[in-house]
Amino acid sequence: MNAFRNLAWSLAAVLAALLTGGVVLAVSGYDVADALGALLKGALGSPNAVAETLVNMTPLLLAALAVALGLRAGLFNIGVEGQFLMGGLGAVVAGYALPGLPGGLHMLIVLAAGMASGAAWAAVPAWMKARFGAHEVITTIMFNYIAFRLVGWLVRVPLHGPGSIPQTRYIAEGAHLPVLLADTRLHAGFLLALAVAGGLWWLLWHTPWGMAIRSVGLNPEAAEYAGVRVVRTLVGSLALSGGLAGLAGAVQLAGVDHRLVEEGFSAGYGYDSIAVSLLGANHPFAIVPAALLFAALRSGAGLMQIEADVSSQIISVLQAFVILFVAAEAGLRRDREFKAARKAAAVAPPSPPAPPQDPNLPAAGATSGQGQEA
Amino acid sequence: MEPAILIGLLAAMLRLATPLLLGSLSGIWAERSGVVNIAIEGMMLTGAFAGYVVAERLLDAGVFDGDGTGHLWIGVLAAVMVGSLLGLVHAFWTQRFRTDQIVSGTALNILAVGVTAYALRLVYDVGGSTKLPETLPAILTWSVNGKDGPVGVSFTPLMVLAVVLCLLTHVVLFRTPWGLRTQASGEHPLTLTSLGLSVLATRYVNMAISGGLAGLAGAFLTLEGIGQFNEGMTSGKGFIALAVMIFGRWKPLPSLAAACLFGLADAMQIFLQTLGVEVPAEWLQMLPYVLTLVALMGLMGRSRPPAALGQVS
Repeated sequence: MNAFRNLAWSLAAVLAALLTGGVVLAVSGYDVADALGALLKGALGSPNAVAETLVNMTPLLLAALAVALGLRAGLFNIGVEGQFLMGGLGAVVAGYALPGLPGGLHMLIVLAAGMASGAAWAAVPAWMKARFGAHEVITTIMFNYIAFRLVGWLVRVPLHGPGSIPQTRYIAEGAHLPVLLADTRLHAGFLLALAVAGGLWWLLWHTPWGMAIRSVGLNPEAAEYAGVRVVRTLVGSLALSGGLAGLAGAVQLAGVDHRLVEEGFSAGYGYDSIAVSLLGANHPFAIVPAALLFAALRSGAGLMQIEADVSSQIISVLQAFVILFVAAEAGLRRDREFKAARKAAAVAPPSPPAPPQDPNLPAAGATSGQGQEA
Repeated sequence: MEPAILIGLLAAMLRLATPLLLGSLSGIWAERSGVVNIAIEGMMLTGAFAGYVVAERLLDAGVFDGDGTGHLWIGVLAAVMVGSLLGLVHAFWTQRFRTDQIVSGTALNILAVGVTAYALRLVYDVGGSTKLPETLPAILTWSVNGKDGPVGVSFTPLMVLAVVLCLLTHVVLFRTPWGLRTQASGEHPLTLTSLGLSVLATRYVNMAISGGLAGLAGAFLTLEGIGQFNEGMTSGKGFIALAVMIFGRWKPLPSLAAACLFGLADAMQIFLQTLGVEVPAEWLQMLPYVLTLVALMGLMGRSRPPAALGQVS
């Protein structure tokens, strides 16, 4: 029942965000009905539009699962954008530097290479946090900027493919993810992303390591006391989070792009995934519809820009509102529960209530207030 | 080394250090009162945009002619006000709605990127903007004749203002009742409550100041720097400013020195490029980010944040 009530509140927060977006459009002087019509048509208006929405959903879902895994451990991985890019880099190199491999095997190697490079890119800030207490929010953002410059240089100079456009060579045909629906770009990565959502759910709730991750996220001190190796769990989950982000990049590369361009490969999937994960309460299953919603907005925004002349950037504004409203709702609910628990404790002292824990957000001590801010 | 080169380097350092100093002061005001402000980046970007648009529109509407600087100063004021507004939103969300401070800050950063890009296309129908005919002129210029003509250091109004605000922050924080109140709010909020003073009010006021300073840093970028606005032009300066603040141990005067150090690293990067050093531009552009990481690693253990930072009151 509780889950349903949470879902209802999340929906209310999304509606509030969409409404605010509508007000922004109206204030800007646009015809809101026109814009909304174009948005819907672009997202779901034809079989191809639906396929494109699912194509957009694939990297978004994987990247959001990466964010969710981090937040479950109490880590805010804002570096998904950079890890996504590094995943694409690892995938493209494995995709063209190993010709002659059998198709299926080559595809797996490409995905594994992407995942490994994303994990490696996240492992450095994880180590910095474990060893020096440097807060992952700032370090992972710095790693984003470094990744943009690094990949920009690699694509411009050493990995520059034939032709004058700054892009790498194309990956071998055998490494492409197979297309699921003829005449669309919908590829097998979509099914893989859904499977990863299931896998992450299994990992978090049905394995000892998942238990360790969640306990560290809820209360690191208590987890330590219970015998969880906190530092190792933190480093491991941030690295795996980076691995999922890298996998998202590899899937996008092997399924859609097939080569790495100098700029615009990740197209903001890494940042959008933060809103998706928060909207899905960091739960792998709830993230699936959240990713679908944001993917629909993303693919509809293109047509909205063409037909109603509304900048597609309105989507970022909407996402920010979604985060603000969802987080405000979660904060208020936590506050209510805390007060109710305190009241109950005052009435019935023998059984002190457990400290309130909100599954939507990492424990307060994990992201802040631990003496390792910023 | 040629003295002209050193002077050029000094000029670039001061220019690049100014937004970092203002950003770190923004961080000090917020964090000393117990609020993590990770949205400095977004407040800077929004301030840069608001300052530019207001100045440009005023000029375009003919309210001011291009000879004076009135439109630029009104732009600066607009940037400060927009920054303050965002600071208050952050305070409201984290204090009233008890939102996680990092989540709220991240939302504001995403909002800033979206709103500025959306509004830029709304107003100008393009991804970039036209250059203002003039930026805020130097108050004082010190120039030396170099090999290729005169080289000078220009002290511009907001640059000087940033240093004044740094000194002012020092005095207010350590020599006035409000500073004591701010420190109590960040170290041990219950002390304030037990004296009958409001922790919330302290944090609201300080977040408005913090936002205003970040907005001012944005105004520096557009109205005193390049005279135009580009999407995402802050490129991480707000986050680097937080590293400057940590490097300066949450104190204004050491932050001034830290800002100069980071500004120098950035200036070196540009300088090595202009000197034609055989290193790819991208590698040099990574320098400030790498330096930030080094600073975070090296100083974290020895630099102590306010005790009640990030806690819900």
